[in-house]
Parts: sequence; structure tokens; C-alpha cells
Amino acid sequence: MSRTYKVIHLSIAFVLAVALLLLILGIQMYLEVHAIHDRMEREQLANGRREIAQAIVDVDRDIRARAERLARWDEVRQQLANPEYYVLWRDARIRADGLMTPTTDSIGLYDRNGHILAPDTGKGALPAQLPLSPPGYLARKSTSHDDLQYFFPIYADPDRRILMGYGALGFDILDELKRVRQFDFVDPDSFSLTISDHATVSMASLASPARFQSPPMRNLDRFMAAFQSALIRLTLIALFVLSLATFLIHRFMVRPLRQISNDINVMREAPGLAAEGGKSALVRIEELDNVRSSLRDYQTRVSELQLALEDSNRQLFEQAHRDALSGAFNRRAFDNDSRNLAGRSPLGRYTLLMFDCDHFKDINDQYGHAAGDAVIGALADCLQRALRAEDRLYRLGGDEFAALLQDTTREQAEDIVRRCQEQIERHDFGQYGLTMPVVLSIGVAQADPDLSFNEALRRADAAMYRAKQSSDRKVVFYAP
Amino acid sequence: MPRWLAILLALAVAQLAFGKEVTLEMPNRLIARADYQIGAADKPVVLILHGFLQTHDFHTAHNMADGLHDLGYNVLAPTLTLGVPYRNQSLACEAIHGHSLEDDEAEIGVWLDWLEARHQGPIILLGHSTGSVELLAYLSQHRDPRIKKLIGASIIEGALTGGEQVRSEMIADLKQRIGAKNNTPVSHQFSYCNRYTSTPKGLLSYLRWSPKRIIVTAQAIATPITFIMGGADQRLATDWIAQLRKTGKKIRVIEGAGHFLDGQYEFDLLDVLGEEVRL
Repeated sequence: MSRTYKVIHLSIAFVLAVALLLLILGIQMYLEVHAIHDRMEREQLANGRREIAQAIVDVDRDIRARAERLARWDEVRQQLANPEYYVLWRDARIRADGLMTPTTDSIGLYDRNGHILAPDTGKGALPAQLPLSPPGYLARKSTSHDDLQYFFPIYADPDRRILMGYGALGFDILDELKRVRQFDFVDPDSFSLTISDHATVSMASLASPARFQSPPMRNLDRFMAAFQSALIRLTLIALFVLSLATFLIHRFMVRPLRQISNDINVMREAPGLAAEGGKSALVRIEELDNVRSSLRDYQTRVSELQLALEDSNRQLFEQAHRDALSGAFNRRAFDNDSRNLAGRSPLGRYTLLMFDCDHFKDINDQYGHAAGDAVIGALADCLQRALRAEDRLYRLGGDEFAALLQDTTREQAEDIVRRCQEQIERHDFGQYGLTMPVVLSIGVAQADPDLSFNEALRRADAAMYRAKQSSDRKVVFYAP
Repeated sequence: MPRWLAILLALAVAQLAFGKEVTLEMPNRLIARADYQIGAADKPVVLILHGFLQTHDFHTAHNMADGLHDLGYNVLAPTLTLGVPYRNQSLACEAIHGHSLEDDEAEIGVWLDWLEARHQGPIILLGHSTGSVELLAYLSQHRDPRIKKLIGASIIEGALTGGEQVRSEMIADLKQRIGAKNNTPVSHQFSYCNRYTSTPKGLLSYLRWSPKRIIVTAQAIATPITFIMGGADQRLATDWIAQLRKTGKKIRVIEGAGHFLDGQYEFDLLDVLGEEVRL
């Protein structure tokens, strides 16, 4: 069995679902864009590593080319052949020849035995003795810079058979990396290498432990900022739209539906009241008005049908509980009332009257059944006029009537009985062709709350027979 | 003839045609290079010496060597070491020059010895620019009967912008330094160098070869000498060719040619050379 929900709950659930959907979409977009941002950062790092590796290869190639140029320079071989003026040559000629780039800290020559031709001083000073078997790189680390010194052999002959000595190029590796390459994915100022002082290094091994930071991705950061701003604006707009939608739904859907629901409840609880809700609304929904109008029409028709049904029921009840001849309640009504009364506890105070027409059989026999029926009808009319509005008159059969008087004292009962006798006496039975008087014997039983209805009925019946047996005392109040 | 033998012969001929590089240890124990092109056996051998601080690959020397070899001559074009083993580059003016003209003469002598050990025929010395002066200096110090001729192309002293007065002052200064055993290199304008850095001894050896000394030495040498001069050589003093004529030696002037006797005058030079090497 399906559950029933209130429209306000459904509308709130709908708005919340839309809000949740928008929230999920927003979060999904946010996560997607962040994933793209992260992926681009990772790619930037990977590109940075490749860029550094390529820069190191470039530096290696450049340094080896410069070393080769130095080794093939005649003046170098001249100095190795006769180093008498080496210091003068080193200080004057190397710089003049353009080999001493801004990133080069030192250039020096060693003889064939690995002794430097002249001591080197200053930044990145070369060692006095060849530190490794050339060619190769030696790391020199200081607090201010990281130097690499490249040592290479110098041959006298083009065929490289006659070793003359060795050359050395000392350079700041970080400055050299910046010099040989324009970095796109590496912030040159954040770049550092992990090298140990006096360690022999291979250029290929320098790249992996390099530490660096990627330059800020300004375009991507600008996009992220714009995206987040747009997302916040979109969220605010969505919240506003949802709030507006909530208000509109509540104002134009929920409230009218609730009004209709209330109207229906009112109609259900008070079918006679017409539903008037919605008439005062500033904006009215045509469909809802149609529903409301239909409900009103339906309500009117139902009320009419109900009234007609009640009328029919009443007629049916009357037909079932009224005696057609006398118009009084019939025996079935008496039995129903007596059962209902007998079922009460306590019964309350009431008075039961039993009426019987004397010599009615003679009237029937002498004047015919039509006259008898007229007498019966006249008796009922007389008794009905004598009884109070709330008193009920029953024709139990033949000429026998009964009346049930609720909450009636003896004085009231006596008064009612007297009015009954007066009505009978006053009525002109001669009009039915009767020449004999019509006398009514009346038995009265007053019941206490403790007395059962059947006992009260027996007492009234007994009193009525006693009155019937008496010629002058036609009203008998039961007395035990 | 088997194909492989033909190929080998062709390679050998090509090697001879294009010449080969020879190396030789010099008195300073440095190895010097030379381009050696073998020509006809009955033709003289020509030793071509490059100009100041140049190598045998310098285009004037190179063109003369190839041209003469094309004419069937044997050609040896050495490169003076100037203190550099296997020197193959022009030495910069600003380099620390420790060599001297005497060192150059000694290397010329070694190359001539090497040549004489391989050729029985006459030898012709052919110098360009200062190379001519060095050959002249060698010839003045060494009487070698097999040297039949000296051809000095664009012969010129180590010129000084200040003239001969400056030369005298510089020589005096350098002699004083040498006397004081001060071997610290000095820098001066010399020849085409604005700043030539050399030991006092080395610079002095070249400075001593003044125009006057060239004239006197040439006059004193009995060996035939021909000077081939460019008519439009801007490096020469205006009266230099006239002074050369005073030597009584043969002067061939290629009108319009510059100091390097190149360009369109390269063919004139080869024509003149062809005539002059014909003994």
C-alpha cells in the first residue's frame, strides 16, 4: 500500500532534490577542474624534470664543446709546451678569447703528470692536483654556489695520440643551466641540485635529485579563480532561483492545494458548508480554480443528493414505521422504540399510555369497515392533537393505541389523558354514520428508572383492561 | 689489371695529387706540420713559407702551393711552430709569443734538411710577406748550394706605425731588458698587430729586420732573388718597391694586386711564379 505525502513535503523534497542535484553538479565540476589543475601541475612537474634533464644534457654538450675548443686551441698547446708565461696568458688571454663566459668560474691547465701549471685562486679555484681521471666532472659545493669542474685531456696531435696535459673548466652549474636554456616549466630561482663536495659526478645523474618549483601557472590560476568565482555566483543564483521557486511553488501550488484540501476537509466534516477558499488570492491558478469550482459543484450536488437521500430515507422510514390508516407509528416502530428504551440504562422516568376503543368490533360489524377505519383515523387524530409534540403515538393493532411520554410526571400524564378524552368527546363521530358513542379506555403506567419496559408495558396493559372493564372509570392509572 | 689494383693506384695518385701532411720534430722538440705535394722528379722542389703568424693553410700560401704543384713542381709548405706543437691555426697577435726569428730559421733549416734527404734536385725558396724576410734571413746565414733561388712575394719588414725612429727606440729598450734578464713579455704595435705580445728576445729578433737590413741583406746574397710585389699593396711604404729595386734583384710587380696577391690577381701571381721557378 503506497504511502501518502503532503504536497508541501513533496515540494520541499523536489526543491531539495534540485538543490542537491545542483550541489552535486557543482561539486563534480569543482572536482573535475581541480583534477585538471592537479594533472596540469603534475605535467608541469614532469615537463620541468624533462626540461632540467635536457638542460643538463645541453650544459654537458656545451661544456664538452668548450673543452674541445680549448683543447684544440693552439695557444693552449703552446702553454703546455712552455708554461713560462702561463699565468699571464691565463689571466689575459682566456678572457679575451671568449672562453670565459659569465658562468665560468675558472679555466686551468695541468701538465701530463696532473700538476696544475699555476695555482688557481678565487671563486671555484681548481685543485692543484688533477682530482680524477679525465674526462669527468668534479662537484665543488660551497655556501654560495654549486660548481662543477670538468677535466679533460689535451693532446698535441690531431689523432689524440700524444698527451700533452689536461684542461679544466669550472662553472656554476645552476648559472650554466640558466644560461643554456630558457626554462618554461621550472622556476630558475628555486632550482637546486644535490651534490657533494669533491664528489665525482656524471651529468646524467644530476637531473633526478634536482629540486625545483614550477613557475606559477598564471593562466590556469586565473582560470581557477574565475571558475571558483563563477561557481560561487552560480551557486548564489541557483539558491536564489530555488528560493524563488520554493516561494512560488508554495504560494501558487502548495497553498492553493492546501486550501483545497482544507475545503475538502470542511466539506467532509460539514457537508452543508460551501468551500470558498482561494477567492481572495491576488494571483489565481486557472486549473486550481477549476478544481475548486468542480469541488464546489460536486459538493452542492452531493449535498442535494444527500438531502434527497435523507428525504427518501425519511419517507421509507415513515412508510415502514407509520400506520397507513391512522398516521400514527405502527407496531414495528413501537417495538423498535421499546427495544431502544429497554436497552437504556437507566431507563429514566416515563409514562406509558395504552388506548383501546370500547365496542369497536360492534362498530365494524354494525357500520362497516369503512366506518371503522374512519373511527380509527379520527381516534388517532384526536390523540395526536392531545399529545405533546415530543410524545409518540403508536397503533398497535385494531383499535389499540399506545403512547410513550418521556420524562412525564403524573400530573402531566393526567393532564394529557384528560386532553385525550376531551378530544374524543369533542369529535363528531356521527359524520361516519355512527349513532353510538365512541368511548376510549385508557391505561396508564408510570415507570421508575428501575422498572423494565416490559413490566411497564404489562402494567399499562393491565390498567387499560381494568378501565375497559369499568363503565364509568375509563382512565385507570396502574396501581399494584 | 685487377679492379682492386686499379682502385689502389687511383687512391695513390689522388693522394699524391692532393698532397699529404707531414710532421717533423723541430729543434724546440715540438712537432711541426707541413703540406707536402710531390711533383715531377725532374722538377725543382719549392719550399713555401707563410706570412707572419699564419700557417701553410693561409690562402696565399695555399694557392701558391697548389698552383706550383699543378705545374708539376714538388712543393713543401711547412707551418712554423711558433712554440705550438702541431700548430694549425693562425696565432693571435695577443698570444704570448715566445718564438723568435732565429727559431723560425732553425725550423726552416730542419725542413730543408728533410727535403734534401728526399730530393736530389734544386730547391727554390718562396716566401710570402714576413715569410720572405725569414727565408732571406735564413739564406743570409746558411750557404746551401742546392738552394737555387729565393722568391720573395710581398716581402715586407715588421712594420711600425711610428717609423724607423720608433724601431730604434724599441730595439734599444728591448736590448736593455734582455741585458737586465727581464724576460717579461712586452706588448707593442708590430706588423699588422696593434698589440703584439712577445718576449723581448723574440720581438727583438723580428724588429731587427728593418727595411734597410732587408735591402742590405738581399744585396749581399749571391743566390738569385726575385721579388714579386703587388702594385696596390697598401701595407707597403710608398717607396718600398723603389728601394727594393736598389738591391739589383729582379722585381716583378703585379699591377693592381694587394698584399695577398689574391682575387683576380691570383692567376697573375701563378703566371709570374711559373716563370720564376723555371730554372
